[in-house]
Amino acid sequence: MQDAGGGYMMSKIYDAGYKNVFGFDVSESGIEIAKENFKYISDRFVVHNAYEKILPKSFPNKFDLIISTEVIEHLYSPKIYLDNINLWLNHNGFLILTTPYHGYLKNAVLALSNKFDSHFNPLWEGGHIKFFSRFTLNELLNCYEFKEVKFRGCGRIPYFWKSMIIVGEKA
Amino acid sequence: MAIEKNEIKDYGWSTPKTSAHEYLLPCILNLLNEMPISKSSFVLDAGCGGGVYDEQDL
Repeated sequence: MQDAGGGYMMSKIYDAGYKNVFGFDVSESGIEIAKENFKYISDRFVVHNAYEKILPKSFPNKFDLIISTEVIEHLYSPKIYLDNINLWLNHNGFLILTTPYHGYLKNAVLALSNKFDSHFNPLWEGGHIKFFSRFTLNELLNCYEFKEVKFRGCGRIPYFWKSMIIVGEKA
Repeated sequence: MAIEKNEIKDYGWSTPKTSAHEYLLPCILNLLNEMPISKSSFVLDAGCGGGVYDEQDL
C-alpha cells in the first residue's frame, strides 16, 4: 500500500497542528522509513494490514477523520478496506480519499495518444490494479452511506488531473 | 513462484518522495482548513508508509 511516502503526509498534518494523528501501513520498510525520518512521532507509525478490522492496541478505537492517499487503487478488495474505514470512523466523521483520476477526456486522450501500456502498465510490480472515476468512487462510497461533500482534482489541468480527492461525510 | 492473491509483499521502499508531495499534500492541507474539524480531532492515515516507483504514470 502506498501513500505520500514514508510517513511524510502524516508528519505534515501533525506539523499543521493535528497532534492526535496516527498512521499505519502494511509495508514494514515504509514504516521503518517513517519512524526514522520522523522520530518525534515514531510511536504513531505502526505496521498494520488495512484488511484487518482490529486496529493496533496503541491506536484509538474510533477516529474523527481518516485520510487515505493513493491506497485504494492497489487493493484487491476496496470493499474490505471501506468496511474497515467505516468501522473505524465516528458518526459524522470525515473520509478524505485520493486515487488517480480517470474520466472521459483523460481516458480518450490516453487511448488516442497510445499511452495505454504506460498508464495501465501490468509489469509495474506493486502497481495499480483498480482504476476509479468520480462516478465509480462515489458508487463505492454510497455503499457505506458516505455523502460526497467535496471534490477536488489535482495535478495537471482540469479533467486531465493526476489524482482526485473526495471528501465524504459518514451519515 | 507466483504471488498468491492478497499475499503481502514488501517492496522495500527506499525513496519516500512521491508525487503526492508535490500536489496532493497542499490540496489536503487546504481541505483540512475548510472542514469542520478541530485540531484536537483524532486523525488516522490509513496507508502512511509506502512509496512509488519512478515510472509511475498518472
